[in-house]
Amino acid sequence: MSELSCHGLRKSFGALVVTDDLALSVRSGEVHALIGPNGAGKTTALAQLSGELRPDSGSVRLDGTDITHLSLPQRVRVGVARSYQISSIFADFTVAENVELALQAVGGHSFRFFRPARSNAARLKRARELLAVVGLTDAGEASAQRLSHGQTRQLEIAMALASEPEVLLLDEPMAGMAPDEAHRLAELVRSLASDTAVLLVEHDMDIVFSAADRISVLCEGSLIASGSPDQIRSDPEVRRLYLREDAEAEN
Amino acid sequence: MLTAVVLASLAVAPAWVQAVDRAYLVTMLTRIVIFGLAAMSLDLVVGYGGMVSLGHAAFFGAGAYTAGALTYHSLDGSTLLGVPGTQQALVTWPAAAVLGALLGAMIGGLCLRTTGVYFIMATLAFNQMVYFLFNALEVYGGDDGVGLFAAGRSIGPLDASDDVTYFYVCFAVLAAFVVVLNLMVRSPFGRVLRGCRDNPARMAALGFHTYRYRLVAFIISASISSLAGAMAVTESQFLSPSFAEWTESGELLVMVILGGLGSLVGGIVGAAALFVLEEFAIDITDNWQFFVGVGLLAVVLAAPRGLTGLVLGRGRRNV
Repeated sequence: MSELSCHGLRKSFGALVVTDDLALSVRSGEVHALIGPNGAGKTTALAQLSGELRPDSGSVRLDGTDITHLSLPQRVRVGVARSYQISSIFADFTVAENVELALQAVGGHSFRFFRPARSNAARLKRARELLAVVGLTDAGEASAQRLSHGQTRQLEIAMALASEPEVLLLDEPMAGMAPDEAHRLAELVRSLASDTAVLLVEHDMDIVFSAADRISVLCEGSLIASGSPDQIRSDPEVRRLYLREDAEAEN
Repeated sequence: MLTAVVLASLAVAPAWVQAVDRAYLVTMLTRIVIFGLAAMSLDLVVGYGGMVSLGHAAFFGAGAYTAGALTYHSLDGSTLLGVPGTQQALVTWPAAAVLGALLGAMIGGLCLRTTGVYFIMATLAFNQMVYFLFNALEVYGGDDGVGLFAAGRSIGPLDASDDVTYFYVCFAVLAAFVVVLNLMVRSPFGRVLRGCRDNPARMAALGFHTYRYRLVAFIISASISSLAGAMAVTESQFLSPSFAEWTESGELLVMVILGGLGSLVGGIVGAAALFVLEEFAIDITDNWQFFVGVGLLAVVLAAPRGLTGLVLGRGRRNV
């Protein structure tokens, strides 16, 4: 049982406040979706949880331990991993090598100079297992640049899983996917949540409402609502926000 | 495979130049081997690590000054900081490699806090500092340098004063580092290094401290370059700041790019191309480097993987 939480998180770029007194938590066993209009500060919030950005004030805790001062690589080591909105894989490597590299990151140091990288049988086996988990069993030896967009997202998740994270931060993993691909990935995300805490930033409302146990709505850097999908669906302020968006879209 | 062909060609080259009555070319072959070693070590940093260093002559020069100074004091009978000099390469060369590693840790440690153009400028700045430091060393002739012609070339019990013998000593060192570096780029360390080149942000997200891996690669490269500098001064028996001139850094980069970035053997091919071109084009014009410019343009525009890429084929990535 683990829990990632933040309290009083605040971040501004110049005069622009992008995170305003944010409090959030995500526990293992649940998918917690973070939604909000464009520019609401979702990605910035995620970057502060993952350690890429230092908040101006506030704290991030993992199981009660303050990890605000830990850098991104250090947070990976204590169990917080993330994936990226824009696919960020190693295109010149094979698919399996991408996962092996991710495994190297957490399997002790890589100051090993003379043995071939592919001679570690345990690592090769673990990479194959992770590829099977995300449904890329047969793609292992292909060059990563040959993957389809959807497969690239699956690889992203396999790489994030390599560190055996307790908390998985997913930044729009379904972005740009075909609907059936997106739903398959949503099922995968749901299944991961059985023993991992998943924070999901996502735009597709169908997926959010079907896959999330809890939803938080971010607007201009602060939380305006948080609750079960049903509560969010009927929240007047959220409805106003999204109705306004719809109306603007129609104009 | 290509690496084996290049090494085999180099191995028989002295016999060949003697057979065609051009024995004076043996020193050129030795310089190909020495600069090829330095260029190959630069490829580790530039081609595999994505760190474009325009300061490797600082390490090359530091190696030359380490070996040169020890030799000078040995000839002079004086001491260097209380240590007697020596002409024994088994002492001067490792000393140069160690000093190169220390200098690499200092310069790399600071420069790697920057990236891109700033990294290039930072390495160049350190190169200039080292160059002017050597210029100021009046004891070794300042900017004129100093001849060490009375020194022999002792490598252990072996007397390598003869140019062909010395060639094979350098060749053996080169061959050893070809093996070591090829193992290294295929090792877990090499894979991490390439990852840092391709996508440093993602490497951090995976949990890697990219700075440490880059720094270790930089130190290894600096150390090998420094060793090459020591071999160069033992070859020329003349110590001068020109070893550390920044144009030398540029020349090493030209060799790597001409031969093929990220291929290791490309550094040797590039060094050979440059020295052979110099040898023959200098008969046509003193401004032979004009042809280097033409060749470099042709490679950059038509064969981005360099001369080795032309042989290995377009599609294949080197590692």
